[in-house]
Amino acid sequence: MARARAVIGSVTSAMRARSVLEREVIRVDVVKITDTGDRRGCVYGIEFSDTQTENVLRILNRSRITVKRLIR
Amino acid sequence: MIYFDNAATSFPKPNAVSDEVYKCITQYCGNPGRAGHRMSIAAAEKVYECREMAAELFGLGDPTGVIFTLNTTHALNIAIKGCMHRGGHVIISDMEHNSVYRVIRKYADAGFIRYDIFDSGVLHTDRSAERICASISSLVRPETELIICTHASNVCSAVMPIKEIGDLCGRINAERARSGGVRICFIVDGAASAGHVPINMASMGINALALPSHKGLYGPQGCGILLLRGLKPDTLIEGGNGVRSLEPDMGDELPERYEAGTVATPAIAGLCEGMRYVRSIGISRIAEHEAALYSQTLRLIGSLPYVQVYGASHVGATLLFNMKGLEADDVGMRLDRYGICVRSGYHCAPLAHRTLHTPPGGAVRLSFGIYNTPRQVIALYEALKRIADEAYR
Repeated sequence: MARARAVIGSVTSAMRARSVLEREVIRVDVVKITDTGDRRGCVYGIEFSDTQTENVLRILNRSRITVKRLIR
Repeated sequence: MIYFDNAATSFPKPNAVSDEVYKCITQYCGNPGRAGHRMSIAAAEKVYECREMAAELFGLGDPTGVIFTLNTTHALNIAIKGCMHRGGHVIISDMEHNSVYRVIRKYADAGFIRYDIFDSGVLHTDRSAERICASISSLVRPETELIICTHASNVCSAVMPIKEIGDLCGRINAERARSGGVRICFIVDGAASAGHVPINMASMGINALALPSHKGLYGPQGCGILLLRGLKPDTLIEGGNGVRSLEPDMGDELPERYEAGTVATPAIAGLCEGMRYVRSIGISRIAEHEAALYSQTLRLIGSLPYVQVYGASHVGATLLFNMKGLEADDVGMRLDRYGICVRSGYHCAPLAHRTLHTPPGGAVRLSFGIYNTPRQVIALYEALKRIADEAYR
């Protein structure tokens, strides 16, 4: 199954994103992402089933968690 | 052994705390927020769980505002130094610990800021929140940017009207928002109140709250918490925080902006279980238990003609006393011979001792916790009577 990654920021922000999504019964993993394209160094994000991408973005947006970049 | 020094550090700890520290060290103590492997992520999960727990317990809401520090003093230093500006004015209470007083004095003595001390009315029979707020209001100047107040005294059980002071800051800030004045930040030292007195940052109008792990929250030493609400102070220390590593600054993202270097994961894991334990009992129930011990102690030792209790009308977890003609340290050492642990001296709070009019040498502090019992209070009473027999014969 295809996986998508949302670049979030610090590990705490990524954990918060996971916590918010888990409350909506969406399973995600926190992952470290080094090369995000903006070349600022280490960053954390969440990885999930690509089929959930729209839901994930909607829920995070509602919780005011910024997705810096989506990798599909 | 009878332990009445819980205000210095609580003892014993709940089994869940020591079990979790051991589990962390042996099973998941990777470096949180530094790598992507399972040990690092597992550690980060526990650290985040602790942030969520603290945010909920202290009415912050957003766990990203929970910053782990070395201890309460470190947390206060971040909040105070990060919010002060040259020429600014600071107001503190007359019951502050050196973790506030020395910071302020250093900058005031260097001419960087000015400060005033408000009268918290600890010994006034007509003490009221209105009177305390009036005392603060009379000291506010256009350049006042910080009001710093301990929540509960660390030497006696006096509690400050934090909600009313927070409301006062809110009213001043609303007025200043209209006139373009400097915003006042309200910083609270919760070292002696966390786990003993309910705290809700949102409803109390607190901007920064500094807490210890190892006192009323029953966690290990080596960790403190700074909770920030609508406040982003300058950083106190800089270094690696695991994010944006190619950038030359700490960034704006909370909480990592203030967490340079590796956090104390085992201590945080233990603190998480300590807070869970406190929450399971309920802070109000803990307060009732400690107040009952205080009242019993006051009734017993207050009846001894050679005992003087300071601030006796403030019922809570801490009781300060002296025995006539004996140095506080002498009483402390004699009690230790009876297997009773107390703390004597000035308790790092010279302002509070001055306010309470204790003599040179300070006083003896009893501080209660969850595990203390009425039987232990009776043992203390009997020990004091024996000490008096030895000393006054």
